[in-house]
Parts: sequence; C-alpha cells; structure tokens
Amino acid sequence: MLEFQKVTATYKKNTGIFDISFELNAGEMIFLMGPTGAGKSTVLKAVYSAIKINAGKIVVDGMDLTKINQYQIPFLRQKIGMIFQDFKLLNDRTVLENVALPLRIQGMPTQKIYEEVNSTLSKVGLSNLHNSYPLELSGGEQQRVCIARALVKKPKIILADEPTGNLDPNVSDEILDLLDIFTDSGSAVLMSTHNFPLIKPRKKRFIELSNGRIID
Amino acid sequence: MINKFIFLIQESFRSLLRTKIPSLVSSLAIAVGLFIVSIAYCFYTSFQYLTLDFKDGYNVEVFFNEEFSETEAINAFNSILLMDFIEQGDFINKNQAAQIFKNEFDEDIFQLIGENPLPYSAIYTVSDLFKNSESLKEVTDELNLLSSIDLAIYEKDAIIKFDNLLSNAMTFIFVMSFFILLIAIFFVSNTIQLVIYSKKNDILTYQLLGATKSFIKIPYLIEGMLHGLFGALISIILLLLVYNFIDYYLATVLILRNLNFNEIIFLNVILGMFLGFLGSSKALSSYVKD
Repeated sequence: MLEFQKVTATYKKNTGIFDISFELNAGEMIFLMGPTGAGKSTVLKAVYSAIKINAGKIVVDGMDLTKINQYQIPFLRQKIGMIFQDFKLLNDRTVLENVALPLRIQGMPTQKIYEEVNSTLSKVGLSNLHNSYPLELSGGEQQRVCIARALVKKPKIILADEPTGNLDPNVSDEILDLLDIFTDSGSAVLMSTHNFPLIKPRKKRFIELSNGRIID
Repeated sequence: MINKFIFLIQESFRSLLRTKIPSLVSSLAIAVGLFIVSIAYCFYTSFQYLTLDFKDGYNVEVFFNEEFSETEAINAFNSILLMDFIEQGDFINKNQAAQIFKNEFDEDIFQLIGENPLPYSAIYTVSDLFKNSESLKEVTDELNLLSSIDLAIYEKDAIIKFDNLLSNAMTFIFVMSFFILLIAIFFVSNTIQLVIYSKKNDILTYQLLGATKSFIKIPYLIEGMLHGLFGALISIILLLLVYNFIDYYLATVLILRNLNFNEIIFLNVILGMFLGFLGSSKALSSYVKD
C-alpha cells in the first residue's frame, strides 16, 4: 500500500529524513515514534508530496511519487485520508459541511454526499452533532470530525500527524480505538506520535526515528 | 463536474455574504470607476455625434482647367466622380459661380469686369474614411496632378485644428478611463487579497484535502465578478439618476444626444465583471501560485 525505499528528503540546513525504508500494508497500522524534530512529520509530508524527496522512491497505492508532476499532487491527496494534531477544520462550516468537503472536491452528487457523511458521522459517534460548528465542540469531538473527514472518502491510506497531541489520555485512547477499527476494514494507517505510553499497550508495529533516521 | 460547479458558485455567494464590508468597499470602488468611465463614454458618443455633423462639411473644391469648355469640364467632373475616395459631387458652371461670387462679395462679376472669368468648378464630398486632414491632403495632391484640374483645395487650417482637437479629446478620455479602471482594479485586488489573507488557513486545508488550484481559485474569481456586477448595478442606478436630473433640470443647456442606455448598461455589466475578475486574479496570484 505504501512503500519507502531509501528515501532522503531534506530542508535547508540539512535537516529532514535520511535513507528511510519501510512498507505499510493494507489493514496495518504503524506508529512513527520519536521526539520533536526526529522527522516524523517529514515522513508524512513526503507521502502527501508536501516536500520533495532528494533520493529514493515512495510508492503510494501503486503510484510512484518520484514520477508525478505538480498537477497530479491534488489527485494523490484525494486518495489519502489525513488527520492533523490541530484538526484543520473550517470553523465557519458545520460538522456536516467539514466532513463533506473531500467529497465536494471529488465532485460527488449532493444526495450521495449526505448519505456518506451521515454514515461516517455515525461510525465516529457524532451523528447528533452534524449541525454544530467546530468551535462548539470539545477537542476530542473536533478530532473525531477530523477523522470522519479523512475516512469519508474511504481512503486506502490514512496519515495521522500527532492526532492525540492536544487530547487528554482517555480521549486519546478512544481516538486510537477508532483508527484501529478502520484498519480492520482494510485501511492502512501511518500515525506519528511521541507518546510512547499511549501506543505501548497496542502491540502494533512502530518505527522509531531520531535525527531523521530510523533507529529501530 | 456540474456538482462541483454548483458547489463553487455556492461557495462564492457564501464568501460574499460572509465578507459584506470588504465586498461593499470593492463594489463601490468598481461602481465609481464604472460611473466615471460611463460619463466619459457619454461625452465620447455625444462628441462623436457633433463631429459627424461637423465632418459633413469636409469637402474638396476643384477648379477645372480654365480653357475647358463646359462639355470638357463636365467630362472631367464625371471622371473624378468615379474615383474611390469620392462619394458625391456638385458641378458648378460659370453662371452658378457668378451667383456664388455675388452672394459672398455682394458684387456682380459682369458689372465689375465686364465678363465672367470664373472657371468651371465642382465641390466633392469624400467618403467617410477620407474625412480627416491627412487623407484630404492626399486626395487634393492626387487631384492636383490631373491635367484637367487647375487647382484642388480643402479647408486645411480649420480641418487640421478640428482633427487635433478631436484627437486630443479622444486621448484624454482614453487615458483618463484607463487610469480610473486601473485604480478600480487595484481596489478590487486589495480587497480580495484581504479576504483571501483571512482565509489562508482554509486554503491550506483545501490543498491538503486534494483540492486543485482551480477548485480553490474559482470561488474567488466568481466572487470578484459578483463584486463587479454589484458595482455595475450601483453605477447604473447613479447614471440613471444623473441622466434624469440632466433631462429634467438642464435639458435646455445640456443636450444628451445619441445615447443608447442599453449599450451603457451592457458596458457597465461586462466591464464591471471583467474588472472584478482581473482584481481577483491579481490577488490570487499572490496566494495561490500555479
């Protein structure tokens, strides 16, 4: 589903990720572990082409990212579900409108959008909040909206960048449970976190990064 | 595709309603620009109407060879009538010439010198394309080369003066309109830039979710065109008020001639939307780069 082959991607001042290789298969969840600045977010950015890679090869669902041009990047991102630490919700839109956005971008008919959004909102336990605005919700609820927005387009790969970073431990556990459910249905999840106690009991594969290199 | 387009139109209206004050400022800037350009356009059309009146008098006067008989002069007159640049002509025989002399100088040429030495002549009207000082000079130069003609002349000084006046007036109207439109574009662009700046995080989210550049840009472009449309509406209302005021209070001093109001409404709407589109494009080029 996702393949990194000796990938190096650097920013100015020679920071970034170096010689990273791993594979993520369908139905699998991998945690990217490491302290701030270890390169976790850079790995995710390389997947959704927000950073150019200097060497190596990334293959996303059969698409070789070293061969795509700038105009194909939006279509790559349409295939990926993304979850962010700061949620990146549109505060002037309702929960329903936020979750519908990826489907609007794909040009799906309105009736079908409502069906998909309502079904996804009920899966994340937010069916009763579809007309609320993000700022009326708790942090955990906002993250659920963000997850619903990532899942509504039924992506094969979900990237989660510190999705529990702003949440308390109980809510964080609930969010991980939710992501776990979706791996059971075949989606592959790549999640970055620096919260080892949170992921330790999960018995999932994890990759530890330090200074942009895999150390474990 | 249609679903996307409908959504983008809805987004434009939504954005317009959420940024009422900047939208109003932008529409007013366009309205002022369009209003002044429309007034300039009204002056231009009225001026053109007056010009046509004046240019009807752009004639070439021809004096045939004084040794020609009337038949030879008429033949020469007819051959000139066939030339491309000539629209029509009036032949003037010796008696008519004497009558013109009498009308102008209040003297009878026969009583004055005992004979009529005035040559056969003609007044030709040139085609519209040749009704300017340069073309008239070329026409008279060509006619003066003919052996059948002693002299071909036109009212050189008056025509040159009028042509210069016309050219200066047109240049002034054009330059003024151009600068006013530039200012309007600048206003729209800055206003939309403010709107886009306030939404730069939303734009980033759209990009991360896989929105293409055109998906992000189209609502702002439509919004700019809507600013233009509202600006045009305000400008048209102002123009109607001014028109009715002039028509009611100043009809005796200021005659608004040859004005086609439908044309002015069309001009306002098209130009307004174009200005809004240009302003938005300029603003977007800073934030959503291709």
